[in-house]
Amino acid sequence: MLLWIFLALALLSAPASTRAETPLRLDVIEHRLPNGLTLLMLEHHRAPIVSCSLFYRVGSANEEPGTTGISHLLEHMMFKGTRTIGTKDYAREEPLLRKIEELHARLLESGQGREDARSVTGLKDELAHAERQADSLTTKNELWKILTREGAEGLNAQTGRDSTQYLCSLPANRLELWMWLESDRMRNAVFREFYREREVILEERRLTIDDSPDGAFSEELFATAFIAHPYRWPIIGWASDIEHISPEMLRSYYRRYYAPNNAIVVIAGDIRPDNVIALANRYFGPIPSQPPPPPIVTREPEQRGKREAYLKFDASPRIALAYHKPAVGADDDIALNVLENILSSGRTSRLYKNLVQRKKVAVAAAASCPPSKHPSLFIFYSIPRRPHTTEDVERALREEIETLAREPVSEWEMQKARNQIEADFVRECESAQNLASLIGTYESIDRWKYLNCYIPKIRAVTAADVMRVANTYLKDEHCTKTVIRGKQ
Amino acid sequence: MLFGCAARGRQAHPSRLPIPPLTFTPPEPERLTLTCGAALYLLPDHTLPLFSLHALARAGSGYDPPGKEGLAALTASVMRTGGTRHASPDELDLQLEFMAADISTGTNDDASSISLSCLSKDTEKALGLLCDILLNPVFDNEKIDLRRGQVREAIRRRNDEPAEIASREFTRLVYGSYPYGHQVIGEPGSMDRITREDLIAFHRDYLQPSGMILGVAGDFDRDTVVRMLNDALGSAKAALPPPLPPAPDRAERTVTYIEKDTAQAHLMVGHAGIRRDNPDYFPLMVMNEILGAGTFSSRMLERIRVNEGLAYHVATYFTTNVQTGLFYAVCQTKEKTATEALSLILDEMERMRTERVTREECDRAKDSFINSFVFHFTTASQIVAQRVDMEFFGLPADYLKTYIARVSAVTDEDVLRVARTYLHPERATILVLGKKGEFDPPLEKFGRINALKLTEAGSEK
Repeated sequence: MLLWIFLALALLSAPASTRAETPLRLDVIEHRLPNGLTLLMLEHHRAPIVSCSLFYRVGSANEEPGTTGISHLLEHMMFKGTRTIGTKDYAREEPLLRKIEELHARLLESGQGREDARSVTGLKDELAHAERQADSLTTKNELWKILTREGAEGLNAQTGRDSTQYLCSLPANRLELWMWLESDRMRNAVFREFYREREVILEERRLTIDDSPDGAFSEELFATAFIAHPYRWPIIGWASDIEHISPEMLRSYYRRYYAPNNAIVVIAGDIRPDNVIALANRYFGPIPSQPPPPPIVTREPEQRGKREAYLKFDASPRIALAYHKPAVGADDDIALNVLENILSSGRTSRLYKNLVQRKKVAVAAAASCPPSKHPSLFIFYSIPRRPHTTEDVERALREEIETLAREPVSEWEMQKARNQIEADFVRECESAQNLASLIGTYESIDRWKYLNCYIPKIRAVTAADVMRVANTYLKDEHCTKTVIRGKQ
Repeated sequence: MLFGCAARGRQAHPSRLPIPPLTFTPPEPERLTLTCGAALYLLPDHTLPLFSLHALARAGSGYDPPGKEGLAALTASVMRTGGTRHASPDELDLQLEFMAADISTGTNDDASSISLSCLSKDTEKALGLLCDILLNPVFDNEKIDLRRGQVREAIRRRNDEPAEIASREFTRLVYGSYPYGHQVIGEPGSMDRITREDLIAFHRDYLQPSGMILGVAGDFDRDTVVRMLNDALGSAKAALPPPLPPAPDRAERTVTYIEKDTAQAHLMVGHAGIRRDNPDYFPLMVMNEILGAGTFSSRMLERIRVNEGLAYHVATYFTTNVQTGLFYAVCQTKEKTATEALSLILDEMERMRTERVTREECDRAKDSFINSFVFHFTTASQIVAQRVDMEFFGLPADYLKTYIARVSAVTDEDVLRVARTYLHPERATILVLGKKGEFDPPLEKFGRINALKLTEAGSEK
């Protein structure tokens, strides 16, 4: 249940027809285990469910050239089980897994000409044999099967630039099961079936980047807008890097980043916090902490001139203009959120009104300003409407930017933006699943408490602030323009 | 396993964990009939200051007249954007968006929907606007043109995404000229043939409130909302449009190839499926979970992704409509391994028909439905929308009350029986999209190839 001071009282005493108040505070209970694990809890008793999320403060921004994509590969491999889960007999399986790794390493060397053809065939036979033996000791997808059988919903994981999250909702009486499984894989993960999963990820890359106009477009945009900061490479990684990652690299990455002191557990739903704390102590408490991971030191140097990228793709034209913007928590980022709303929320927004409805140069036009741990991008994205070209759309977008930099936004538009951002916040509070994800996302890039000052800060933004941030950030020399040029 | 001993009270395997009992009485929405004849479900929930309404009308794209494909969707869309007798399009948008209220419409094969979400303090005003939109739309010409232009652009772009092409052409191949066979938004040229009069007539014939099913949820006063809806919607009863005829079931294997320069081949395999009210729904759901809907718990994903590393995404679906839906498997893999993946898909379909599933597979699938049943009741708006859907599809009122018993009753024998009745690999429609000349073995293995050529506005033989 969401608690905020006067609503809690109102609910207890008022008749059923009394209107609920707008929730502006999430009453999150915060607890830290001695090993450094952060535990965040939110009571929400409307349904007998519990939403459990585990966030690690690691994402593609923590990677290095040569091993890009390793965070995402690790996320996939975390579903392969542990010394207990996914195996019929780990003592017998373990030497086979080692043998498979050795054989793969030797085959890789042989590709560099160090072994003759006959021994390559021999190695391949030996490898196939070892894989068959290992397979016979594996219980396929056991983690997934246990959780879904017990009623899991929304079971998934997601790798981002700043964090990696493991999501699962369960009937409320299965919380201990989640604690058991999730703490087990924080410490005892076994990367079985590694080489096949690497192939799966290459297929995922083909699907979501190579054959997807928006995926390829977004990859091109970030790779152009950033020249130094690790936000420049795709979350899924470059194909050649993925092919090069070995189980040993993965194990070392896992040890460094998947430690309790780098983890956030968020439990929202039908819970008793003292019970959650007791379970967390029992299951996560014994896992030793690790040295803190190295900080990301690279900062993106100031851009000194417009950048342009043209992507050839078998798809219709689209265009994005991206501008550098500050990290989450900065007051200017809040003002940019208001600006984003004024530009692109609904049919009365400026981009819809002017580009889609009046000038009819585009069928869709939007701005986005996602929160991020490090300075990132404020992005305009638009799909031209024939016969108009991406140049026409760019001109229209720039006119909007110039107007914002020159004239203060009307008080009506400011109030509309505040109303919408507040109402969206209330809507986010409807389900425990949303709340768990929201709380964990903010804790992993800043602090969850950011959520409780978000609405007051939005309310404090003035039209002058909006004009100032438009002038400060939406400058032509800070712009990266990306265009898909296909079958025109 | 060091940490097994270190933690007191920790079981060596999760299967030994105690599971405390879970007692839960799902909230039961009230159902009543409005004066106009429409059904209304109500479920108050005062925890958040939100109000929502969801309504369905039997006004899907299945009712589009031939040549005017997209009429249902265009009508629903411009009903919302085209103004009313009392408010211009701009006035409506300004009022709604200033109070952060959202009224939106949508269309699928069977239904058009209209939904409202607002802060509860604005309920009366927003509900008034919604009723006005429903009853008095004027279909402003400029808004029709705007939407038509957007649809034309979407049709022009419909060959950008391989998955979209595959799904569109597959649907067309299975249904042929049946009303579910065309695209909801429209087909090349159809926007040119639709007039404002068509929209007015479609609204008159299909979107009258008397035939709708409505649901309201959230922080509202029951009597006020019922009174408002009765006052606004009046007592006029319109005839309900007749149901669509049953869909034909094609009886032979076809193999269709679409050339496109992609990094992966996109594969679809399937045929006609079932209606939503099919009495075999529960055994089918269990069968499909085991076959390919249960992600990592399913046979197809285990074989094609986990064991062979051939694909990231492979799954099977039964789409359920008022009339016959689709069954299909979908998978994407590099061209080199496309025929291998295709063989595995057909093989798993066949295996389902010939071998009984294991007790373990059957119980696991059933348990997952039974244990996740509580997720049908997470928010008031979801609970109400679910009841609206159930009534729309003609499901019995005790559907949710008997859900667990009906899942529990499914046996491995039932699974085998429904697999034999509803899976037909030998007469499946097979569709492959990808680069030319890289299939090994060649696609002819599956039958004579029918090549489809993509053109700007769609595809042709």
